[in-house]
Amino acid sequence: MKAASAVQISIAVRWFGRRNGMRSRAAVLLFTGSIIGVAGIALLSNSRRPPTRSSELPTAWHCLQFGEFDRAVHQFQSIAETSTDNAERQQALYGLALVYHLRRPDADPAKAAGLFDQALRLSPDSVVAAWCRLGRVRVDHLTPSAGTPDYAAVRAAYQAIIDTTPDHPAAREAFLYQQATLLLGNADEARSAVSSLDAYLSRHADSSLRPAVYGLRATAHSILQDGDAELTDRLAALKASLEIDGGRASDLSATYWQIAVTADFAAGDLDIARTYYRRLVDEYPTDPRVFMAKQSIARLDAMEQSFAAGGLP
Amino acid sequence: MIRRLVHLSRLLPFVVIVSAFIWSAVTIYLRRSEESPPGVIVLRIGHWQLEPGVRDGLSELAREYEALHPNVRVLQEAIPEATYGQWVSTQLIGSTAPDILQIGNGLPYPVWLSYLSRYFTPLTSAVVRPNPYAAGTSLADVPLRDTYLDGMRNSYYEELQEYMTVPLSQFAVRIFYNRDLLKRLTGLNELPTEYRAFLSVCEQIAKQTNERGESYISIAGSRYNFGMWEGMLFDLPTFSAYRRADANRDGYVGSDEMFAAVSDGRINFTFDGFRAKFQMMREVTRYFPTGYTGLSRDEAVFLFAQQRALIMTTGTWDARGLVEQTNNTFQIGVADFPLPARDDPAYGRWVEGPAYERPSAQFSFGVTRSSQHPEAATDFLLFLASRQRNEQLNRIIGWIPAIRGAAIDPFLQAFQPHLEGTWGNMNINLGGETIIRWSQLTSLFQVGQIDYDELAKQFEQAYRTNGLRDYQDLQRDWRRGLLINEQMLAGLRGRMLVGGSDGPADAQTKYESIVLRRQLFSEIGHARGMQAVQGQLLRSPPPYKHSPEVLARMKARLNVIRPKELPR
Repeated sequence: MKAASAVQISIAVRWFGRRNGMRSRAAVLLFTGSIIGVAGIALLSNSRRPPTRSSELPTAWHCLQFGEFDRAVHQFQSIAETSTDNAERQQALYGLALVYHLRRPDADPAKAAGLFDQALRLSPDSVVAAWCRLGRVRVDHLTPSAGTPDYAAVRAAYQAIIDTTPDHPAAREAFLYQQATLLLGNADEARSAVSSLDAYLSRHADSSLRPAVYGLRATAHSILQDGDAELTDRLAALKASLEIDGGRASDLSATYWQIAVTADFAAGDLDIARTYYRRLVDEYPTDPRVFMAKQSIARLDAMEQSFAAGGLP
Repeated sequence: MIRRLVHLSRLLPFVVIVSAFIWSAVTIYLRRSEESPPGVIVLRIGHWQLEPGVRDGLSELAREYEALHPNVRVLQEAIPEATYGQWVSTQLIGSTAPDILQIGNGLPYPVWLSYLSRYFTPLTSAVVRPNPYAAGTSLADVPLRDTYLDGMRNSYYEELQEYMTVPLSQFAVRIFYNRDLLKRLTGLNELPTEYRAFLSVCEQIAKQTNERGESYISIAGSRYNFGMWEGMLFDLPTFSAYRRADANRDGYVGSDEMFAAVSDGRINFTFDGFRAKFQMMREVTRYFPTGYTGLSRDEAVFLFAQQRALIMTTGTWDARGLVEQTNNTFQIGVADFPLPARDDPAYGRWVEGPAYERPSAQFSFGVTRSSQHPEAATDFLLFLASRQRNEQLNRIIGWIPAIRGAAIDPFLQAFQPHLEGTWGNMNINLGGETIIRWSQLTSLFQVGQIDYDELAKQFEQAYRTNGLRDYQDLQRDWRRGLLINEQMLAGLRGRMLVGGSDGPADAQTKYESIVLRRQLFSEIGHARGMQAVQGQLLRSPPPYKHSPEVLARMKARLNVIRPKELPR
C-alpha cells in the first residue's frame, strides 16, 4: 500500500514537471505535502490504536450489551481466531455464544449451544466455564425448541451447575432460576421450593441474595394461600434489602403497597397494613396508589371501630 | 519588470487562496477567542426546542449563571427537531458534541440507551446529594432526586442502573376556552368545572349562531382531542372495576385480569361503571363538531382560532403557541376538566376523584463524556434545577416547573397536576380480533349507530369467543423481554470478567439488581397470567374483599401485642 503511494507521488511529480515546468512547482509541493500530511496523520492515528487484544474484549461486551450484534460477532470472532491466550479465547467464544443466543432477529440457539460447549472444552475448570454451563442451560430454558421448556431437564441442568461449582456466582444464579421454575402455580412444587429456600437461608444467612430468596418464598406461600407466611417473607425481603443496600433502593413504593395489601387481605393484620399504607403516603406522595392507600386507611379505621364495638364490618 | 509582473500574476490564484485561508483562519480564531477568551470555560448546550421562549429562557438563565461564574460562558445550539437525531449521532461519534445535550428525540429508545451508556456521564452521584444551589432554602438538605415532583423517575435508566439526565419541565393536558366568547354567549367569566354545569354551558353555546348565521360549536373535538377527553374524563367511572378484577392486587387491571374476571363472572360489560363511561362519552361528544372522528388536530385548532368553536383540549406544550395562533384576537382561559359532583345521580358513585396525573419531568439534559468541563456542565444543570431558577426558566418558556414548591405561571395554574386521583380500569385490549371488534363497535357507538347495550352485548360475545386465543397470541413472544434483560446481564457479566471502567464491584451491583428486579419473577408472572385467563386462578372472595377467616384473624389480632420493629 505504502509502495503504491510512493509510485503515485513520483509519477505525479514527473507529470507535473514535464507539463508545466516552474509554474507547477508550487502545486507539486502542495500536492506532495498534503499526501505526506495525510499519511502522517494516518500513521499517528494508527499508533494510537490499542495494541492488545484484551482491550478489545470490553468493546465486544459493550456491543453485545447494547445490541450491536454484528460488531460484537466480528470482535469476539476475531479474538477467538487470533488470540494465543487460552483464557481470552474462551471468553471470546463464550461471548460469541451469547450473541447467537440473544441476537434478534437472527438468533441461532443451536449454534449458541455448540459454541458454549466449545468454550467449555477449552478450560472446563475456569471461572468462565461455569458461566458457559449456565449459558447453555439458559438456551434450553429461554428459547426451547418445543415452545415450552422441559422443566424437569432444565431444573436438573441447573442442579448440575450448583453441584459442580457450588461457590461460583453462576451457581447462585442457577439456584434462583431453578427455584423460580417451581413457582409456576403447582402447590406441590411450591412446597418443594419452600423447603429448598429454607435450606438455602439456613446455610447462607448473610447472602446478598436474601431479598430474592425471601421474595421467592413469599410467592410460594401465596400459591399455598398461607397469608401469614407470605406476609412474614415480604417483610423479611424488605428488611434484607435495606440491610444490604443501606436504603439505597431507588423506589420502595411497590414493595410497601404489596406488604400493605398482603397484610390487609391475605394475613388480616390490620396494624401492618395501616403502617405500610401510611409509609406509601408519606414517603411516596406522588405515587398513583396514594389515593387508594388513603381510602384503605380510612376503611381500616372504620373496621377497627366496628371491631371495637363488638361486631364484624 | 513586465516579466516579473506577468510571473506575479500567474501566482495570483495561489495568493488569493492563501489569503482567503489566512483570513478565514484569523476570523475563526477571533470569533472563538471572543466566545471563549483564554481562561474561560465554554459550555455548549444542544437541544431541539426552536420555540423562541425556550431559547430566551435558556439565554437569560445562562447570563445569570455567567454572572455568578465569570469564568464560564454558555452557548446554545438549537437544532431542528427533524434532523436532531442525525446531528446528535454525528456529534457524539465524532467527539464534537456539546457539553450538554437534550435527550430523547429523533432516535429510537435502544439507540439513545446505547448513546447514554457510551457517550454520557452518569449523574447518580449528583442526584443523590443536595443541590448546592438550594442552599438557604427548605430544600437545602434534600437530595436532588427528592426535590423533583416526580422523584426524577424518568432520569433513572434501569438498564444502566444510573441517573443519566436532569429534567427541567413538566407537561399536562387541560381545557382551553375563548374567554371573550364565553362571556358574550353565556355571561360567564369562567368555564364551570362541575360536570352538569359544564354540559349546560355547552348546550347554551350550541344554540347560538354567529353574525354569518353559523351555529357555534361548543367543543373543538377531533380524533386527536378525543383521546384527551377519554383519559381525563370518560375513563374515570371505570376506576372501581379494580375491586372486582385486580387479581394480583397491584392497583391496576391488566388485560389478563379483566378477561379472567369476565370469564368467571366477577364483572361483565353491563357493569354500571363501564356503562357510565359510555353515557358520559355520549353526553360530551354531542357538543363536538359533526363527524369529529374524521377530523384532525389542525382542524380542531382552526375551528378554535377562527372562533367557530369555544372550547378545546390541549397540552402545556401548545399553550404559548395557541396564544400566538389566535393572534391575541381574543383572551384565552385555561380550565380543568369538569368533574361530576359527589351527589350526581348518574356518576357520583362511580367517579371517585379526578384523573391521576403522574408527575413526569421531561425537557431532560445529559452531560457528554467528550465535555472538557463535565463538572461545570453538571453544575450548570444543577443551577437550572434549583427551585428559584427552575421557576424562572419555566415562567419565561411558559411550561410547568419540575421542582417542588416552584411557582407556576398564573396562566398555567390550571395545569397543576392532580397528584391524587383515579384512572381507567376497563382494559379490554387482548390484541387480535378482540381489539379489532372493539374498535369497530366503539366507532359505531361514536357515530350513534348503536347504543351501549348493543355494544356490550356484541362485544362480550366476541370477547368470550376470541379472548383466550388472542391473549395467547399476544403472549407468544413474551420471552422477548427476558432475552433483552439477558443481553444487559451478559454485557455486565462481561465487564465483570474483564474489569470495566466503572469497576467489577459496580457491575456486580447492577447485575444482581437486574436479576432480582426484572428477570427472576417474569416467568412466574407470565404463568399466573396464563392461569388466570384459563380460569385456573379463581379467587374467592374478590381480591379486595376479606374472607371470613381473614376477618376473624384481624379481630383476634387486635388484642395481640404487635411486633414493635418493622423494617424501616
